Amino acid sequence: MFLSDAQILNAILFAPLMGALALALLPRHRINLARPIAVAFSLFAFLLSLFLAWHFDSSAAAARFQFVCDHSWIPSIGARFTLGLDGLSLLLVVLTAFLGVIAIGSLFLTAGQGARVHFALLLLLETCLLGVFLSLDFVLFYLFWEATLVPTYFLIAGEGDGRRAAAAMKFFLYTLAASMLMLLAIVAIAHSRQTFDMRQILAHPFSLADGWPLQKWAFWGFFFAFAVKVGMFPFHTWLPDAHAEAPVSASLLLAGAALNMGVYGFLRISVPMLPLAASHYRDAILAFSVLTIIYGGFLTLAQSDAKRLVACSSIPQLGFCTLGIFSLTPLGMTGAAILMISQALTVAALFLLFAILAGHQDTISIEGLRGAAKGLPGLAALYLVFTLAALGLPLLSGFVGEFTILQGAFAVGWTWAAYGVFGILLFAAVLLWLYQRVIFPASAPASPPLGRLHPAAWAALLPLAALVLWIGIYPQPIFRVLEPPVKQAIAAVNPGYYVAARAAAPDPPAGHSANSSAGAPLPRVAVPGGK
Amino acid sequence: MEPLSWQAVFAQAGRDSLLVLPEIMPALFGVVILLTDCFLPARQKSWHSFTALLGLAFSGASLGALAGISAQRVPAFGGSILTDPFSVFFGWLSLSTVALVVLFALRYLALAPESSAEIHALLLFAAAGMMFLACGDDLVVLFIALEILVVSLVMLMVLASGRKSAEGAAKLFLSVAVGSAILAYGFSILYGLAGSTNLEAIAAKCAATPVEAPLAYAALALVCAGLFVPLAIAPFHHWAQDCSAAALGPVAAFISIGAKIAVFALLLRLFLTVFWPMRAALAGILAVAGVLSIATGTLAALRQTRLKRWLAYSCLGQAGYVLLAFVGAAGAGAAQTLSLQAVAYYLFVFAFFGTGAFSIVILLQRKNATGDDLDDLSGFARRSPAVGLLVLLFLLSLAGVPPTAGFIGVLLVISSLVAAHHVALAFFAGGFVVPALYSSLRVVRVMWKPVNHGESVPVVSWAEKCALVAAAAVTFGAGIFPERLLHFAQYSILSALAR
Repeated sequence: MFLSDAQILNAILFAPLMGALALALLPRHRINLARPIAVAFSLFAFLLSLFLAWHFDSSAAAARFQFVCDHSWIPSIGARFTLGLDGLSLLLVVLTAFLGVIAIGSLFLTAGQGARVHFALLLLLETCLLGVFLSLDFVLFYLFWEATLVPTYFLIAGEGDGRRAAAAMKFFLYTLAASMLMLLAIVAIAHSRQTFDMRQILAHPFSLADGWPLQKWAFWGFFFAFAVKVGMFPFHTWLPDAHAEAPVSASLLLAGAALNMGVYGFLRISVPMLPLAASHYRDAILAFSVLTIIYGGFLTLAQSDAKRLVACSSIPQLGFCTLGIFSLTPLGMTGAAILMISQALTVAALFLLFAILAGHQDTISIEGLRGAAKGLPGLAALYLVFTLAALGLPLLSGFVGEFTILQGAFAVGWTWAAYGVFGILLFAAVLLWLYQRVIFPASAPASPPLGRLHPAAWAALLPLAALVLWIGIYPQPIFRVLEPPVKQAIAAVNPGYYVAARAAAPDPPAGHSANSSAGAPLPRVAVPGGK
Repeated sequence: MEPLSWQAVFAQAGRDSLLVLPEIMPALFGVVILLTDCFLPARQKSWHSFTALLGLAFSGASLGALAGISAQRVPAFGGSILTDPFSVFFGWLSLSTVALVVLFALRYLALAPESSAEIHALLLFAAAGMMFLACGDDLVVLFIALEILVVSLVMLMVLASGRKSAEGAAKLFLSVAVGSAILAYGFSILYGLAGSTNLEAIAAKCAATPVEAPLAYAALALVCAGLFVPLAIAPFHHWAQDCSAAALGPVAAFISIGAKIAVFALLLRLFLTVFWPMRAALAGILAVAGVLSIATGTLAALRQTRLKRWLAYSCLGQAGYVLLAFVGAAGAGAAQTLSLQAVAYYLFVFAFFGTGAFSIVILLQRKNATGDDLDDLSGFARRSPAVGLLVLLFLLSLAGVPPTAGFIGVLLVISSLVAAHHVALAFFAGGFVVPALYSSLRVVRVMWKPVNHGESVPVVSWAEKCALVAAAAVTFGAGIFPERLLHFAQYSILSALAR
C-alpha cells in the first residue's frame, strides 16, 4: 500500500482542495491548463475512493470505523481532527468523488471557456462534502458542514445577476439558520458528554439516564438542520430556487451529494445517537415525510421549467428517504441509504440530460423542449433508463430503495406505506409525463436537426446508467457494507428488534436482500414516555 | 519601613523604567516623529510611517524580552504598573492593531501629507495609552492611560479629516468626557471603600470584607457606565457610528476596533481583580449590554448604505459577542476558563478581521472620491480578485462562518454560555449569526457585481498588501488552528486571576 490507513483519508479529503489551490495560483497565461488540472485532481480523489472501497472490510468482525486518522487539533475545547469511514460514509464518499468527476466533466459540455473559478469552486465544494462524510468529530463535522455554504453560494450566485444572487442568498441564510440550531445541539451534547468524538457517543447513545430535555432539544436542533438540507416539506422552499438557478455542474453536485448531507445526518446522528427522541417523535417525522412526498410530487407536477422540475423531483425522493429512516427498521434505513444514492445518480443524470437538450435547444421550458430528443435516439434511450430508475422500476436502482423503504414503512403501519405508494404513483406520473412531452411531440414543431452528442456527454451519462443498472440488479455489496451501521442504529433505537426477529424467523438474515426479507416479522417499536 | 538609600532608589527606578520600556517606546518615537517632521520635505513624509512602525517594532521586541520574566507578576513604580502575561498579551494586541492602522493610513497621507507627522505621533501616543491600560495596576494610572487614548482619538478625528468632521470630533470629545467623569466617580468610590488606588489592595479589601455594601455596587454601576461610553456599547453607542462616518477610514477603524480592544482590556482587568467578588452582578450587567449590542449592531447594520456606518454597527455587534463571552466567567470551573479564553481569543482575532474588514473603505479612497457608499464597492472583487478573496474572509469572519476565526469565536462564546447554563443567551448568540451573515452577504454581493468596463482597478500598495495578508493570516490561521492562540490566551488571562 503506498499510503498508510490514516494518510489515505487525508489524501482523498484534501486532493480536491489542492486542485482548487493549484487553479487559484495558476498564472493567467497558463489558463488552458485549468481543465486538465481540475480533471486530474477530481479523478485522483475518485480513484482513491475506489481504492478505499476495494480495501474496505465489510466482514462482521471488522472494526466499525476503518482508515481512522486521529490527530490532536484544539485540545482547549476538546476537538480532535478525526476522520474515519464506515459503510455509510464509504458509499457517500465514493458517490461524492464520482459526482465530483461528473460535475467537472459536465463543464466541458456547458461552459465554453476554461472557467477556472468555476472548477476551483466545484473542487472546494467537493472537499467540504467529503469532509462532512468523513469527520468523526463534531466540531470538524460542523466546520465542513458550514464551509460547504461558501462555495455553494458563489456557484449559485455566479455572475451575480438578480435572481441567481437572490436564490444564493436564500439558500445561504436558510441553511445557516438551521445549522446554527445544530451548532447549539452539538455544544449541548458535547457539554453533557465532555467530548466531541462521534465514536464515543455512538458507542454510548443517549439514554434516559442523560435526561430527557437535553435529548429532546438536541434532537430538534439536529432535525431542523437536516430537514432543511433534505428539503423536508415546510423547509423546502430554498431548494427549487437554488438548484434551478445554479449552473448544471453545481446543480448535480448539490442535488447529488449536498442533499445527502441531511440524510447522512439523520442516519449518523439523529437515530443512533438520540434513539429515545427518534422513536418518541417517530410518528411526527413520518407525517412530515409523507407530506413531503405528496406535496413534493404535486410541486414537481406544477413546474413548467424542466430544470426546476428536476430540482423539485429531489424533494419527494428524499421524503422517501426520511420515511425509511424513521420507520426505525433495518429495511427502512437500508432502503433510505440506497434510495439516497439512486436519487443522486438519477437526478444528476437528469440535470445533465436537460443541460444537453437545452444546449441544443436554447431553452429550458418544457413547452420549448417538445420533441427535443427527436434526433437523438441514444439520448432518448438513456433518458428512459433514468426516468424508469427514478420512478422505481424493478431491476433499476430506485426500485431497490423504494421497495425496501415501503417494507420498512409497512412494518410500522400500513397507512404510512399506503401514502408512500400514492407518492410513488404520483411521482411516476410526473416523470412519465415529462418524458412524453420531451421525447414524443404531440404535433412535432419543426425543431432544428440535432447534431451528434458530445463524447463527454456519453462519458458522463454511460457510467451513471451503468451504476443505476448495477444497483438495481446486484445491490448485495451495498446491503453488506450498510449492514453494520444500520445494525448499530437499530440496536440503539429498537434494542428488541433483532431478538424478536430471531425468535420469529429461525432463518435469520433479515435485511439482506429485498426478496428474502419480504416475510420479516413486524418490529415493535418501543416508544418511551416523554418524561 | 526603613528609608531607602538614594542608590537603592535609583537602582529601583532604573529597573522599573526598564519594565515600562515597551510603553515608553511608542511615545518616544512619537516625539521623534514630531521633531523630525520639520526636516522632511513634503514628498518624503512617508518616512513617518516607517518611524512609527519601527517604534512599534521596538516596543514589541521589548515586550518579547519582558515576556520571559513576566511569567511571574512583576510590579513596578510602587505597584502602580504590573508586568504580567496579561499585559504582554494585550500589549502585543494593541501594537499589532496600531501597526495595521499605520499601514492602512499610508494612502491617506499621500493624499494629505501636511498632517502626516501629527497623525503618526498621535497613533503612537494612543498606542502608549492602550498599553498602559493593559499594564496599569492603579486606578490613577488607568484613568490617565484612558485619557491619553481618548484625547489622541479626538485629535486624530480633528486632524485626519479636516473641517468637515469637526462635528464628529466634538461629539466624540463630549461623549467621552461625560464617560470619563462617570468613571472618575466610580473610581473615587472604590478609593473611598478601600483607602487605596491600587487594584490589588482594593481587591484584597473587597475579598476580605463582604461586599454587600450598596456603595460597592454603586461603584460597579458607575465604572460600567463610564467604560461603556468609550467602548461604544449599547445603549451608549450613538456617538461611535457618527464619528466613524465622519472620520477617515483608518481612524474610523481605530475608533471602532483599537480603542474598543484597549478599553476591553481595562474592563477585563477590573473584572478579574476589583470586581471579582461581585462578578455575578457584573456579568448580569454585561449580559444585558451584550444582548442590546448584538441586537442593535446587527439589526441596524442591515439597512446601512454607508460603508463606515455599516462597519461601525457590525463592530458594535462583535463587541456584543465579547460581552456575552464575559457572562460565563461568573460561573464555576470549566465554564469560567472557557469564557475567559473566549473573551481573550475573540478580542485578539477581532482586532485583525475587524481592521481587515475596514479595508473595504480604505482601499476605495482615491484622490477625489471618499468611497464610503456601498455602491462604490460594485465589482471591487472582480477587478482585483486576490484582494476580494481576502476581504471575503474578513466579512465571513464578521458573520461567524467557518473556516474563519470569527466562527471559532462564536463557537467559544456559545460553548461558554452553555457550560454556564445560560441556554437562552446561547440561543440568542447563535440566532443573531443569521442576520449578521445577511448583512455581510449584502456587501459580498455588491463586491462581486459584474464590472463595467473602463473603471480602473483599485491600486493596492505594498503596505496595504502587507496589512491585508497579516490580517488574513490571523483570521484564517486562528480559524483553522486556534490552539496556540487559545493556549496563549488562557495562560495570559488566568495569570491576572491567579492570586
